[in-house]
Amino acid sequence: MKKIEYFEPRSIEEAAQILADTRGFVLAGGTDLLVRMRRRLWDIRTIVNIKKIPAIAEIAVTDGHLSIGCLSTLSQIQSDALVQKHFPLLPRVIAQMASWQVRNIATMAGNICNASPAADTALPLLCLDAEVVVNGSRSIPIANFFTGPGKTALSPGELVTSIRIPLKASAYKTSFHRLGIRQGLDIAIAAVCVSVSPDLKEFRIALGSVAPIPMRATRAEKASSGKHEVAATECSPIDDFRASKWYRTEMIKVLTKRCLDEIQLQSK
Amino acid sequence: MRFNFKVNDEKIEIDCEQTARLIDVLRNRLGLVGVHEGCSTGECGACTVLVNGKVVPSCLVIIADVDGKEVMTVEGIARTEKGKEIVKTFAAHGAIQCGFCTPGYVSCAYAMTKDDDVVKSVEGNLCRCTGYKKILEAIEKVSKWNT
Repeated sequence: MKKIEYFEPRSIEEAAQILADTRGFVLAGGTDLLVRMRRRLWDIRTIVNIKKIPAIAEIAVTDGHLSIGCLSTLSQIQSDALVQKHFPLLPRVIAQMASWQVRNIATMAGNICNASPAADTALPLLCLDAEVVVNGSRSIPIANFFTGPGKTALSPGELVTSIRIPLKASAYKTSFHRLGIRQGLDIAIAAVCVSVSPDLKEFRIALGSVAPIPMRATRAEKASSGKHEVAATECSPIDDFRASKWYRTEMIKVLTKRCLDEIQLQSK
Repeated sequence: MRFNFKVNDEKIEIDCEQTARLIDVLRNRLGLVGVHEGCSTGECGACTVLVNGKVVPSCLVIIADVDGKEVMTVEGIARTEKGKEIVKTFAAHGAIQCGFCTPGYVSCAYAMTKDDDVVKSVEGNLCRCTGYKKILEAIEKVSKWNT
């Protein structure tokens, strides 16, 4: 196997410089990167292990936001008291992802940077108006973060350092439904997350696995009725070995309706 | 590069590439062949070991990330009181056939507390032989007296 260049930067600045110079791959949890390496899917010559950088794993409330450091693992986020208090939607989604072993090392930042159209954590983040903080300073709204399958708005030399969620989103009523072949570890066939403002006027409907990116169904959000049907017209699923285009479209209708009905019940 | 960590309570010093997989170091350098490679991609649970008390897929962990930490494999677990009970219960329940998945399941059972849901805790572990029922029953039994 060809030799891999390996770096362990000790600061965000050092990491950013190395990434810009080498166009290397970031190693956080490694649950996507090491799989690609094993399957030789990507040409990986340089690995930048960011786990020795201090202070980017913290979860804290600052400046009206809940800030989740990029090295927070899915397990840590799931069991964090602040997350459970302000955004119980996140632990609910994480509990349906991957497996105990993978959740112990995988990160939410890695999940969104890998930018699969099926990225599970993208959906609650879209519904909670999250922001992606890059290199400790620049902020990208999550709605602008995904640019294509496996592609993000990051430039070379940019590292996601945290994900921030505005505390006002903790008042949203939320729901999430995910369809897969088995409970754990598989990639969703279709997934829907919905959030609604407390006055039941502002909707956010996020769809997964049915478009090149995790998307918001903005027409469905504004529709006065039949939101679930409108959502199905806004997505563009494909046929693949997991499911057909037709089935995914039907399931978006079902899952969206399920989410909306659940929120209606929550409001009574 | 040199790495220092503990495996099954023993201090280990190894010289290898930073990106060497933990599973390869455990199996090939340390002879701990109870750690099994099923899928190489973190999806089957056969390679599950504990690092600082947490279950991880050893096929997706590089040795640089284990430096200074404590690793436990099924060989070490089977020497503990809790581990002996787990193995005995597995055998008594017929939860072992070919044995390939067993170290992964034993590692998870060892790491579980009585508040952990059994099915959720092992949803990342596949078994091709038993049909799962006996494994889940054995773990259920063990977790009743876990702390």
